[in-house]
Amino acid sequence: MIHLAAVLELQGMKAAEEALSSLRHDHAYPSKAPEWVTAKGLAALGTEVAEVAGAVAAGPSPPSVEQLWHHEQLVEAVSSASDAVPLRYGVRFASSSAASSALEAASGTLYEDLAHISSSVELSVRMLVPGRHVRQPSSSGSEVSAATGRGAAASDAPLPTAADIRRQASVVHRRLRDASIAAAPPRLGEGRWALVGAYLVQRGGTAAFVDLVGRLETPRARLFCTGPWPPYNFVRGPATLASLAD
Amino acid sequence: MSEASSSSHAGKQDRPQVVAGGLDALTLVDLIDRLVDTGVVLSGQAIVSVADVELLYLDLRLLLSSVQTLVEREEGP
Repeated sequence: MIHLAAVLELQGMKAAEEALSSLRHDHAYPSKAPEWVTAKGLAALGTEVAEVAGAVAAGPSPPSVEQLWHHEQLVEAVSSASDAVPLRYGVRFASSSAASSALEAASGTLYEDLAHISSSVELSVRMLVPGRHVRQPSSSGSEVSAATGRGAAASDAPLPTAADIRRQASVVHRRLRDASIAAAPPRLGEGRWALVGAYLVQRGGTAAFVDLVGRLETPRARLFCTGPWPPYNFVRGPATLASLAD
Repeated sequence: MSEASSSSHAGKQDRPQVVAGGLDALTLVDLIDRLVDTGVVLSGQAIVSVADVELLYLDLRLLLSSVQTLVEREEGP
C-alpha cells in the first residue's frame, strides 16, 4: 500500500530528495525513505502507509493529528524545492504500479495544475463575527447570543444583521480575490465564520497580502490569516488521482 | 516558513502558522480543512468554544495546549 503526498515534474525530483533528506533528523520521519512513482515525466512522492503512522492499519482509518502534520511536512519539503501539486491525506494505492498507472491517467490535469500554481502559495483567511454582536433582522434589536461582557460592542452603533455581515464578508472576499492570482469559492456564513476563504498568492507577495488583510479588519469583524500553505485548493489533478485510488 | 512564529504544537515548528490575526490554533483547523475530505470521521473530534471562538480539534492533547494558548492570548497581559 502506497500513500501519495505530492506530484512534481521529474526534473525536480533530485532537489526534492535533498529537501526531504533534511527531514530525517525529525523523530517523526519514517524509518524507510519515501519512494517515488513516475509516469509521463512526472514524479509522485509516496510513503508506505504503515510507515507514515508507525502503526496504521492497511484499511481506511481516521487520521491522527501526527499523521496529518507528517503528511504536510513531506508536502512542504517537496514544495520548497520545486513546484509541486499537493494531495490531501489518504490517497492510497495497492502498489507502486497501480499508483504509476493513475499518475499517467491524471498527467494532463497535473501538468495544468503545475502551470497554474507555479511559484505560488495558498493563504487562508477567515472572518469572525462574534455572535453577541449580531442582531436578528426580524427582532427588535435583541442579540442572537447572550453577551458575556468582555469584548461586547463599546459603541452605540447599530448592531449588524446577518445580511450586513454577509455583505461585509463578500466585500472582504472580493478585495482579497482582486489582490490574489486566484480565489477558491468563498464559504460564507459557516457557523461562526462569516467567511472562510483561500487565496493563491505569489511566494513573494504574501507580506503585501497579509498587510491587506490587516487593513480590511474592523472592530466587529476579525480576520485571521494562516499560511503559507501548499495550494491544496487550486489543483484538480488530485481529485482524479483520488478517484482512481483504492 | 519564513513567517513562522512560535507555537505550542509539538513537532510543527516549520509548518504554516497564523500570519495575521493572532490565534495559533487556527493553523490546526486550516490544516484539517485542507488535508481531510469533508465527511471523514475524525478521531477524537470535538468542537469547543474558547473566548467565543468556536474551534475544531482532533486531539485532546493538542486541545489542552491550544486552549491554554488561546486563553492566555485572549486575556492578554
